Amino acid sequence: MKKTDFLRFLSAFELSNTKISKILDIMAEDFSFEKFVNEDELEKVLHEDYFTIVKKANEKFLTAYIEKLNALDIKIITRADEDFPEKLLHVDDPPYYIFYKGDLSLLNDKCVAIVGTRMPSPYGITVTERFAKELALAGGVIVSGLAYGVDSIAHRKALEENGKTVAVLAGGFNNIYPQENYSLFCEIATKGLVLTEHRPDVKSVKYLFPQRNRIVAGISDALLITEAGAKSGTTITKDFALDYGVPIYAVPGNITSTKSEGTNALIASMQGICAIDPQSIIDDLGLVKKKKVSQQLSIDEALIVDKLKDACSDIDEIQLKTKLNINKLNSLLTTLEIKGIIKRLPGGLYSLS
Amino acid sequence: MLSKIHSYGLFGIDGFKVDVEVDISNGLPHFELVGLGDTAIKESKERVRAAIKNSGYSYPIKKITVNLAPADVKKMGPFYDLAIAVGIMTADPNCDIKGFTAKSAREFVILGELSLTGEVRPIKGLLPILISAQKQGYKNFIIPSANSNEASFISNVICYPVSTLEEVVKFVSKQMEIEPVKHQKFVSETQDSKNTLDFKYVKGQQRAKRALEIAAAGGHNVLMIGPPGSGKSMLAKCFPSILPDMTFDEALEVTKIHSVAGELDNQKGIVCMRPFRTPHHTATAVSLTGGGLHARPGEISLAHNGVLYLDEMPEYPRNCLEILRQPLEDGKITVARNAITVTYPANFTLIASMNPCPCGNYGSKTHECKCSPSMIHKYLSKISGPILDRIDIHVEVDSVTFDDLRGEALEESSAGIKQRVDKARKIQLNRFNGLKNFSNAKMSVPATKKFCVLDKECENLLQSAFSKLKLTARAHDRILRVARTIADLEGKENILPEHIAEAIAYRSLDRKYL
Repeated sequence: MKKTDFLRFLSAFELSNTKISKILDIMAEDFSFEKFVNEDELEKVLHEDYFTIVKKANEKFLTAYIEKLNALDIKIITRADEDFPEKLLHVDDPPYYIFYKGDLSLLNDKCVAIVGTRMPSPYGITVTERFAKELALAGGVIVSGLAYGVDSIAHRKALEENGKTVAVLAGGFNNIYPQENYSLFCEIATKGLVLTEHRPDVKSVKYLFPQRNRIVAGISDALLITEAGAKSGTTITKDFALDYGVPIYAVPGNITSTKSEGTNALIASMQGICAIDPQSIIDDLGLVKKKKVSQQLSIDEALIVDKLKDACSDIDEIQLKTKLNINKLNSLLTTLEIKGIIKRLPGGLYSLS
Repeated sequence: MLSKIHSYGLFGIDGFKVDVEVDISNGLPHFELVGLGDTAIKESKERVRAAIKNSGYSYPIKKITVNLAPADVKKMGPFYDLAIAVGIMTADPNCDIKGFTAKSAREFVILGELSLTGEVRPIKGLLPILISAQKQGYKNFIIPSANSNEASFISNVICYPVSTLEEVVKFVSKQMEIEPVKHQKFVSETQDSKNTLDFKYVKGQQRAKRALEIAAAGGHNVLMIGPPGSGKSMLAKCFPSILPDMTFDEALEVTKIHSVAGELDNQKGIVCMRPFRTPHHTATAVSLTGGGLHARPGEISLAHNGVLYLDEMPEYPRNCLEILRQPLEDGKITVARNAITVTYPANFTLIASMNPCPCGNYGSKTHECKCSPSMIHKYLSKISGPILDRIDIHVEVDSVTFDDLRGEALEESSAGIKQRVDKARKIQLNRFNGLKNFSNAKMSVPATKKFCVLDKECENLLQSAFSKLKLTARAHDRILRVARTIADLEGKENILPEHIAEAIAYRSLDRKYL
């Protein structure tokens, strides 16, 4: 049996990387089931799991397992395969195998991880969308973790702009967390790439998220944090990025906002590069920005766009500034939104997109 | 001797004729009342006996049998006291009052409850009885004088108000004349604009006000979403002040229900203001739909032709909200109980309000939201899709800033808004002439197709809105109806792109909210 098939076999049992490496040492280049079954050393490594695994150590089980994955349209690639993504080998505690759906070659492009709080403020939403859009348009691959908030906004924006995006899951494919993002997951699986280290039935439990973050940081060429509070899961991703030497960009926020404490601290401690313009990241990564077609606006539309330049506002504020009739304003805002020039945020706020 | 008197009973909000038959024969003194009466009717035996005695007449000490025909319909309420008393007195062979016979009493439909003193007390539901009786060809009625205001709005009937049993006896035997109730003309009323509930006192909130204006004009349901203290309740309370005037037909329908429920103001006699019902969120499903032993009308029927305001909508129990589905669609509710199955009209405008999340600050510019995404999801999902589907307008209400509150900006008064609303309603009344439909919101699917014709430009706009803004399919007809109302407010014959665009702005919950 080939090494890659042997690793596939092991992937069915959720073993830690340490155990897998010990098993590989014991097997010493002979990856047959006979040897696996007869090797007594293995019992010391696998402990209580030993008998369950040995019982299943046969061709029949392996074929059934692979067939099951195929039925779910889940592909698996192992370190023994030639086209195993180079980037994954440089991750801390590199995985022996990866389950994925979609186009694995995306990892060869310039990847930018966009992460942040699960509950972004209107400001956080605006900047996440702006950066995700510009980076996606420039051909960057947006990497994130399919979580609530910044993660899903970044994924969605990339898809909206027909850009590429990669989602790294904490659990298996049959347990998408959060469930609300299932449709987003399906969309990324067909248009981008979703990957995880875990077999399909593994639940996304708490301790798996930091492990996921190590991959997010590892496969990216840059890490962008758009909005994060002082205590945030983002800190873990940031620490991994620091280890790997991946450049960290942080979007500065209002110093009175608790939601920007984390990003502001990053900038203050010089760990993060202050990101005020997507262009700087695009330049640093050596990407080329595509020219956008400018749209014709009516006088009133231009007036609204002008008033929204400084900050997002609610409709009463826009009305005060533009002195437009409320029914006219209502319809103008919708038209601008359809044209994709402005964006409606929760709470009835509008901002430039 | 036998006598037969005409009276009327109530089934739901319709009257039905009841003949009170009394037979007096020799035998042991005994009173038997048959004809499926409820407890109130069974007890009338004691009231009638005491009332006859205390009015100075003699009560026959014989075997008395009273039958309420038809015998197969359950009868409820003390409507028949007076008729039974007259029946017993006229059937008594020893009765020596000249001209007081069953035949002369049969010229009238006799209605009223008796007290032990012989006084005639008011009854609930006189108006629906009069309307039904008039349709069946009855013209002359003897009614409790306390109900005379209610009776004064029905034309083609002659109602003689009485306050005691003695008066009835004298009137029927032609010893006394009674002035019939004078016919009154219906004048619609609006919430008094002198009080504080006027839109001129609501600062800012331009979009919400505009949304309510559209809702009032087209009868659309509204859901207001906003943080606590943003003025949602205030806006809702001001809403009746811009509602269009009730037509007489509408007023009659409303009064029927209120009369049956015993909620009618006897001084006014008719409901001349559109009802504004605000059940608390501890309300039970039955109190909303109607029910109980007598299948009484519930809050949604009492809000017929008016407004049902549900404050803090997600706090209502799920079943209370789900039962609103059918009435919101059909404009009526069928209450089925053991004894009786009744269909009540329930054609109301729903105004609901809610916070965007449990803490109330989600999406706020000034306050930070403390809720987790799953908490918000859970909160929003308390209002099911089918209910949202039936609400045409979703509008976000922002918290008011200090500048808004202190600002000197003059806000438009309710009276000004009402003028536009009335104009738009008039256009709709002409449009739906003969369709038994008063508003754009209740347009059927074929009517929507017929009256909401879009030109090419509108079609394109709608199409791009659906793809760009990710609207759900259920929004389609809602947008058309709201756009129709916006066009009516401007007096435009056709729907223009700007009307569509504005209507789309009111579908915020159809989009991805988180």
